[in-house]
Amino acid sequence: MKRRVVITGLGCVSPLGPDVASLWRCLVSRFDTSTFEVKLAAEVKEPVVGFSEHASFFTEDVKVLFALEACRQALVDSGLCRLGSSALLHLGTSLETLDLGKVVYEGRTDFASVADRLCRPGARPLQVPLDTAAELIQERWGTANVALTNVSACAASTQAIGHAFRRVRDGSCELAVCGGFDSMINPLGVGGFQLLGALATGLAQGPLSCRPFDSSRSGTVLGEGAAILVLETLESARKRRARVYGEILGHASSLDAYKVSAPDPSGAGARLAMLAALDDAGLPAAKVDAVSAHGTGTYLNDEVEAAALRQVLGPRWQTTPVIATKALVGHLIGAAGAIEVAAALQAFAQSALHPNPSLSRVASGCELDHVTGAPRPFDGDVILKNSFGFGGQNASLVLKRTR
Amino acid sequence: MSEVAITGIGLVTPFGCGKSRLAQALAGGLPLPSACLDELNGTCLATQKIAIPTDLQAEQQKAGLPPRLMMYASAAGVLGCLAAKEAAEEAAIGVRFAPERVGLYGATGLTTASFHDTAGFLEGSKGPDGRFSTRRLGEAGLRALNPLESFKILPNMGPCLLSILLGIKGPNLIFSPWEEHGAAAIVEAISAVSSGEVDCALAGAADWPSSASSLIFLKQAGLIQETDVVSASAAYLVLERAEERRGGSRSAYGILTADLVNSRGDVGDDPLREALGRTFVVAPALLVAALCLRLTQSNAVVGVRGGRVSFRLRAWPEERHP
Repeated sequence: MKRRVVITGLGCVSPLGPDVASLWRCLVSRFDTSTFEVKLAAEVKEPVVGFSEHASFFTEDVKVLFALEACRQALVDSGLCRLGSSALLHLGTSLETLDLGKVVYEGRTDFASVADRLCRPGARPLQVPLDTAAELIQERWGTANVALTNVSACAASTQAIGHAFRRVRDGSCELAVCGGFDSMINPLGVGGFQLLGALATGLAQGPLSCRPFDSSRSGTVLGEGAAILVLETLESARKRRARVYGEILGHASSLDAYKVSAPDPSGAGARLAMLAALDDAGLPAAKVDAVSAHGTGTYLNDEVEAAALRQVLGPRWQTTPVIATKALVGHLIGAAGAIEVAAALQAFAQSALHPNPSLSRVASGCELDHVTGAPRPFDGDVILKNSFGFGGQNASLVLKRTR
Repeated sequence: MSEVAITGIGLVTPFGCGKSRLAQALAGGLPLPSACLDELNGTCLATQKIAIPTDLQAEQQKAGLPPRLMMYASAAGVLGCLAAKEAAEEAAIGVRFAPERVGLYGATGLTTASFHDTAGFLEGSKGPDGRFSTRRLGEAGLRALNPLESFKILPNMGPCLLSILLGIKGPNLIFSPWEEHGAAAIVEAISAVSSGEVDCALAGAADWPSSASSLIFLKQAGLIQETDVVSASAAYLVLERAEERRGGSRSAYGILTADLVNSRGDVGDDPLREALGRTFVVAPALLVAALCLRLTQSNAVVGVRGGRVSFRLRAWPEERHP
């Protein structure tokens, strides 16, 4: 008998606000992008407070602070205060922040000058390893039995949640703190994605620039933030009388093995992840009541995902509502899946699916039952969540409402 | 839960490509071929020794790696592809398993920036005051950068490239950046094979911590001593269920179990350090390979974050190595 795994704590920091309650708002930009083709990003506007001992991360790697704050919220929300020896900590993120201001300095750009400056006592580090957030979380809230940092690009936090779910389900741990944190809103992040042609350019569409599944989509908009979940067994949650946001029924991941620069146009990898997750959940596709799409607003991804969803859902694709949270928060890369799980759990809590406000004309090939205009009442029980990463990593989760 | 056998090993170390090169070097007591990094001449890191595999281009050609695929690969990514290919070919995973039933459990190290690849970008991003300027980055810096560099610095790209190279389509996890994360990749692979989630798993890591940027960070963080040799390497293992391997009367290196705990005790303990230098995230896979090849009897690595992994390798009943 498999153990049932539920979500009892939720914390998030997003461009729409500093907590779960304020998950719906808008977009601006932070550094001088006047010479960049890309002018837009979805920033976290409220400063993260309460971690003054780690203030240097505001300039060195702000995503670490997002992780700390989201973790604090999630633990408080769950009514737990420590990790401990039966806990798993698993966080997803994407790329180390390398401070170019430390590399290009006083007219020199070589690493010899960097070494001389930065290897002196008191110099701030050149880069921040990706497991720094996990380390600081453990310093503050106790050592976990195992602490993992997942770097599966845009699928990282969905994988982290899925892996944590499986470990709680199989009894490897009693508690899991999992999710993702990220910020690519820095010169290297925005510049790198601009080079790949993955970002929406110009300001004409304003806050509606990230346009998943729309015929005028031109790329994604980078976002930043963190979302952390606390997982435990249903039995443990009941015993503690903890609030339950929802249940995780299944998870799976797959690889396209196609190209690093584009998804497999056949959608086989995406389809495999969805079907395997449903199989893991013991549910047929007919039981899916809504889909939280990866929906980036990039040309190829949206079309491939829509086609894969139509194949998985069968004739029900025309009546299975699809939400695209990136239209509202931007693309949080390594944290994208986790923030979208938070949004999906809100759909259960509020009995409504948020709309995709930037979708005015559905692109050819992207036909699905998109939620547009206004929030749509939602009384369904099962949401399928997708995340697809650069390089061809796919991950899906099956979430269930607890009544 | 089923027992898990090791049926393939692929290695790239400073001694060269292939497990036979490592076995010969260690059996022959050869010293680790090391040197100092020219880029850091005259600095506090001038005497820091590094050890890197050489003749990589020739090795790529010899291994038949597609040149176009390698345009997207970082140096560590190339090492990972070479090691994974050796392991996969030894176990013949391409012909014995459905791609969807093969899992990939990889780990990567610190993000590194190659000065040679980024020199124009950095120079172009220099403002009139000699400091970094986002304005100049947008005007000139980005134009001097090959867009493919963006792929090279994403930490998941190396494992994704080898999934493309080997046609692996199953479950996957990629961790970063230290020994405990390399160990987690192996532990997860054992679990996935043992539970039946996959029929076969490729598990391991690749890392190039011997670049200038990594050395600077490692020195800053106090993670290397002057006496350390910092090595670039890759190691991949193929894991399968032992009962099915036995059923097919095939040989294996042994039956592997692993235990990973967050010990927070002594840190940075690697029994192969003297022979192979500091290999960080690759150290656990290298240790398993060395156990299989009977190059060591030590069986535990403690990572820089205090994660301790201990491996137990039980002899394969037929006492025969592939």
